[in-house]
Amino acid sequence: MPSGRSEAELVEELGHLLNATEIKALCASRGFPLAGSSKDDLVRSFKARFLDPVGVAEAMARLEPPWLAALHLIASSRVALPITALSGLGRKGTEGYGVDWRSLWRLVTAGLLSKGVALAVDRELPPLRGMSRLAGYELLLPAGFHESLPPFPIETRPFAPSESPSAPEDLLTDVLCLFVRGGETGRKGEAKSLAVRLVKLLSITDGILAFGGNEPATDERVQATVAETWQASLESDRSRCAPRGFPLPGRVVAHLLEHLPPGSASSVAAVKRALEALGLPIEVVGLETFLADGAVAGLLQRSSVPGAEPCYRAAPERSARTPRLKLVPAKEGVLVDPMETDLLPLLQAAALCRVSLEGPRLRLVPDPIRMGRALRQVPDSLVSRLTAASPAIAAAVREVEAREGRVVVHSGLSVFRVEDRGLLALFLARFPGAVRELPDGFLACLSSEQEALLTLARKEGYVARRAE
Amino acid sequence: MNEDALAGLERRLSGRLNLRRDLYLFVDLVRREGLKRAHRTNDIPKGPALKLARILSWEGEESWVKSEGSGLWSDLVSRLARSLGLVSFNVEGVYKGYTSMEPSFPDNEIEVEARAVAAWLARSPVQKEKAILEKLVDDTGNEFFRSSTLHRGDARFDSLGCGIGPASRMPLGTIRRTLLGLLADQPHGVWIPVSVFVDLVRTSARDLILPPSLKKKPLSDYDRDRVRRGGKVSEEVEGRYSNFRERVKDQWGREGTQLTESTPNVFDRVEGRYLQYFLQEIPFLSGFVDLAMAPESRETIWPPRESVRAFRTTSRLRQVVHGDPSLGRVSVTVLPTLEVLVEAPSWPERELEALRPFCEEVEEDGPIHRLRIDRKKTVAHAAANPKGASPREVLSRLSSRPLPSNVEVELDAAVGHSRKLTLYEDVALVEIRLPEDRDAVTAELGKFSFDASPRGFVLSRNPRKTLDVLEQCLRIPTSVKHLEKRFAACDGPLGASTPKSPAGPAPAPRPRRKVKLSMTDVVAYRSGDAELLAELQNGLARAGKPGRLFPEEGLLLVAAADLPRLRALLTRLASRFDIVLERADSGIAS
Repeated sequence: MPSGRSEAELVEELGHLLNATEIKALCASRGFPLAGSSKDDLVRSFKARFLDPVGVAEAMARLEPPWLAALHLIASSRVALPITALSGLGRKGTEGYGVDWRSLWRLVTAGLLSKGVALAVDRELPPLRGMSRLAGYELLLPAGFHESLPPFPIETRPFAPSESPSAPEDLLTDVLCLFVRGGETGRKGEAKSLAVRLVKLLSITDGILAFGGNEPATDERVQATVAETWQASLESDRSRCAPRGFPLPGRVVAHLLEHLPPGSASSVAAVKRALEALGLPIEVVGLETFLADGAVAGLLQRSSVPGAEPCYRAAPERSARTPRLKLVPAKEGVLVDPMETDLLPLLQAAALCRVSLEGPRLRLVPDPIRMGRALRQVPDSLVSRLTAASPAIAAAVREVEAREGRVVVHSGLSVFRVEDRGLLALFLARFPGAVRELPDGFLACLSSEQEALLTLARKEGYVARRAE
Repeated sequence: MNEDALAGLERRLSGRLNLRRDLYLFVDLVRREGLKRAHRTNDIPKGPALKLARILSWEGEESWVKSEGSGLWSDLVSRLARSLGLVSFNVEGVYKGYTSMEPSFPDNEIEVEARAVAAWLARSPVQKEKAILEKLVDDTGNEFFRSSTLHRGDARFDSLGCGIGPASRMPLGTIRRTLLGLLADQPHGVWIPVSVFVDLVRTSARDLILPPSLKKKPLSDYDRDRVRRGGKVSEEVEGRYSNFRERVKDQWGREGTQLTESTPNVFDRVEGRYLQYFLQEIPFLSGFVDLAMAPESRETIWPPRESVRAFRTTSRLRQVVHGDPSLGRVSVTVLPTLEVLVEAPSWPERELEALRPFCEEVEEDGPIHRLRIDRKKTVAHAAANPKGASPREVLSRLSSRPLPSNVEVELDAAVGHSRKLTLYEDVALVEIRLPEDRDAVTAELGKFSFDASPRGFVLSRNPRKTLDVLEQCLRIPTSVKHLEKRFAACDGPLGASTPKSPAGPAPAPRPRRKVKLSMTDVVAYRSGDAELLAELQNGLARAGKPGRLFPEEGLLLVAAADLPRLRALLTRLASRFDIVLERADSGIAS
C-alpha cells in the first residue's frame, strides 16, 4: 500500500478528493443507495460499500475503451500508478511539451474515479520543477477488483493450439547447460536472449549455488524469477521516452495477454497497437522475440494458423512434470549431469551441499551446516535419491537427523532474572500473554512489553540492572 | 571608617558571589540538560539564562536577563569554565557570507569535558580557588579602560591609543597579585577609606602600576634586527601617563587635559583611579571585598575621581591568597532522619558530587547544605553501578561520625533491592533439550554465555554469533525468532499457546462449494412511537412495498430503493407528528 495506508484509508481520502456531484455519479455507477443529498450522506454511503465487489464488474463493463485500457494499465502496475503515466491523455488538444495537469485530473476523475472503479492517492510530494502538485497523484486498483476486470480492448483471433507447447523446464535445463559451458556469465557478443539473461542469475559463490537470490528454491519462486526476467527483457525504443511512471512494457504485455476473452489470442501487431493506445508512443523493438521467448518459457501459448501471423495468449496453470535429476556417484558426494537435470531439483539439492564445476558436470559435496538449515525444506523424495546415490550424503543426513532438535536458539525476546517472588508473581499476573516463566527465577518476555514490565517494577520500587 | 562616614554611600556587598559554586552548578546544568549558545551573538540565550539566573549567585542576573535578553553573570561563568577547561565551545565563529561583518556561531553547543571536570573535583578547595583567581588575574582586561562586569556604566579613561602606548605594556598580572597581597594584609570586616589604600600603594609600591620601564617604546622588528647585527638604534621614550587624559564630561578622543608626570597629584588622579577600578572587578567578583560607592557623580571632570569611597575585605580574601587549609574543611553529618548535613566554609563540590547520585538537595543556607537520602535514586544508582562504591561506603567515608544504624539498614535494603531484578537484552536463549549436551554447549559458546542461566537453557550474548558458533560446532540448531508482539509457534515452554490439533491423520479437504450471497441495501428506522412506525409501514404497504416492522424492537426496515416513498410519507404525516429525523450514529438532528 502506498505510504503504508490501507485501502479503507484511501477510500476515506477519495471522499475528500471528489466533490458531491462526482460522488453522486460514483454511487450511481456502482449502484449504491442515495440515503440523502448532502455530501456527508453520500460519502457515508459510498465509504461503507466501496470495497465490496458488488457492482464493480458492471461499472467496469460500462467504461469507455480508452478508460478501460487505462484501468488495465493501473492493474498491470504492481505499485500505485503515477498519474504521469496517463499524461498522454492530458496532452490531447494541446500543443507543445507541457501537460495540462488540471484538465488531466478532471479527465481521470470523470473517466475513472467517479465510476467507482479505482482509488487515488495524493502523495503530497513537493512538485517537481515546472510541474503541478496534481502530478503527484497516483492511481490504484483495490485488490478485490482485479477479478472483475473485463477483457482488455484489443483485436483478437480465435486461439488454435499449435505444436505441443514447450516445457518450461527445458528452457531452464538449457540455461543450466549454458552456465556450465560458459562459466558464470554469458559469453561476450552473444545476443541477449532470455536464456542468456537467466544464465546471469545463476552463480556459485563459496560453493553456494544461487539463482536470482539466496532464498530457498521452490517452484513458485523459480517461475516468478523466470517471469520477471522475461518481462524485463522487452526493451523499448530509446529514441523516444515513455511517460514518467509507466510500468515495465513487458509487464504490461503480460497483463494484457492474461486479460483476453476466453478462447482468443492476439497477434504481435495487435499488441503493438494496444501499447500505443495505452499511451506508450514508441515502437517496441523485439516484441516478436519477446513473445516467442514467453512461449518457450511456458508463460505464453502460441497459436498459429497457416498463412497467418502467430498469435499469443497467457498460458494456463500447468502441473509440473516429474523433476529430472541425473546423479552419478562420486567420491564424497555426487556428480550432476546438467543435460538431464531440471534446475529446481538441482537448486534444492544444492541447498544441502557445496557445489563446484567439474568439467561439463557439477559436483555436490554434503555440507552439514547448510543441511542443518535446509533439510526440512527439501522434498523427502529428493533427499532419498541423494542418500541412495552417495554414502557420504547419507552419512551426513543421518548425522543431521540425529542432532536436529536438540538445541533450539530463541531470539527476539528479553529475559529478566527476578529474585523477588512477589515481583515475579506480579509480572505473571499482569502480563499473562507476554511472559513465559522459566526455571530459577528467570522470565522470558516479548520485546514489545519490556518497557511495561520495567515501569511496573519501578512503581514497586525496583530498578533493573542491565547485564552486560 | 565609621557608619556616619558611610551614610549616603551605596553599599555593594559581594558576600553572596561565589564563582566556585557557580562553576559547579553551571557545569552540572549543562551536563544534565545541554546548552546551545546564541547563533549570532554567542551569548547565553534568554531561556537558559533565566534558568541559570535562578541558581547562580548574582542577584541582579534575573532582571538583567529580562531586560537584555541574554545572560551576563552566566556568560562570565561559562567563559571562566571554558578557560579552566571544564567545558568547551567555539569562541571564534565563522563568517557565513562574503559580506559578513561579524562571525556567526552556528550549533555552538557547550560540551562538558568529563575528564577535566573529574580532575577539577579531585583538587582541594584551596587549589580550586587559586586556579579561579589566577584565571581572573591573567585574563581580565585592563581596568583603566574597561567597565567592570557588574558595575556597568562607570566611566573609564578613553581608550584611544591604549593598544600601543605605555598602558599596553603594563604588567597586569604582577600588579594584581601584588595588590591582592596588600589587600589580604588589611584587617577584614572593617570599612577602610580608599584613600588609605591609595596612600599604602603610593608609599610601598609607587612604581607598581605604571613602572618607569613603560616609558621605553619597544623596538620595531627592523631596529631589533639592526641591534642584533651590532648596529646602534636610538631609543624612543614616551611619558608613562601618555595614555591618560582627563576630560570634561561627554568629551572624547584627544580632547581634554593630557596628564603627565609633572601634573599635580598625578598619582592620585591616575593610579588612584586604577585602584578603585581594580576593587570593582577581580576582588569584588571573587567575593573578597564589599564596596561603598559614591552617589551619582556631579563632577565635571571625567572619569570621576571618586567612584569607590571605601571597601571592606572578607575573611575569604586572606584564606585564598594565603592558601589557608581551613578553607577545605568540610563536615558531613548523617542524621537518623535520613538527612545529610554538609557544612563547609567554601563550596563543597566534591562532597556534593559524591552525594548527588543518591541524595536530593533540600536547602542551601550559607555554609550549610541540607540533603535527603532518596530511596528511588539510591536503588537506581546501585542498579546502574553494581561494581562501584555503595552509597553506604560513600557516606561512611564522608561522614565525620559512624552512620546511624537505621540509615545503614535502609541503605542496605535499597542496594539489595537493586539486585533483585536483572534485565538481559538482545540475548539468545539457547534451549538444551538433552541435559547431557549442556556442558558441551556452554563450553562451545565460551565468552558469549552468561554466568547465570535458567535450568535447561544457556543465556548467550549476540544471537547472530551464537547461532553461527553452534552451527560451526555442528549442533544443527533450530532457530526460532519470536516476534515483538507474539511468541513464535514452537514446542517447549516458549512456544505460542495454540490449541493442539487432535491426534490422528488430518481430514481430507472438502471440495469448495459454490454459494450465492445476495446483498440488499436497507435503511433502519428506530422509534419509540409504535403508531408512527405502523403508519409508515401501512403507507409503504399500500404502495406495494411494505418494508419489515419489528414492533418489539421499535424498528422498521425499508429497502433503500423505497426511500423516496418513505420521505413522501413523512411529509404527509408532518401534520400529525412533529418528526425529528436524526442519525443514530452521529446524534445530529436534521
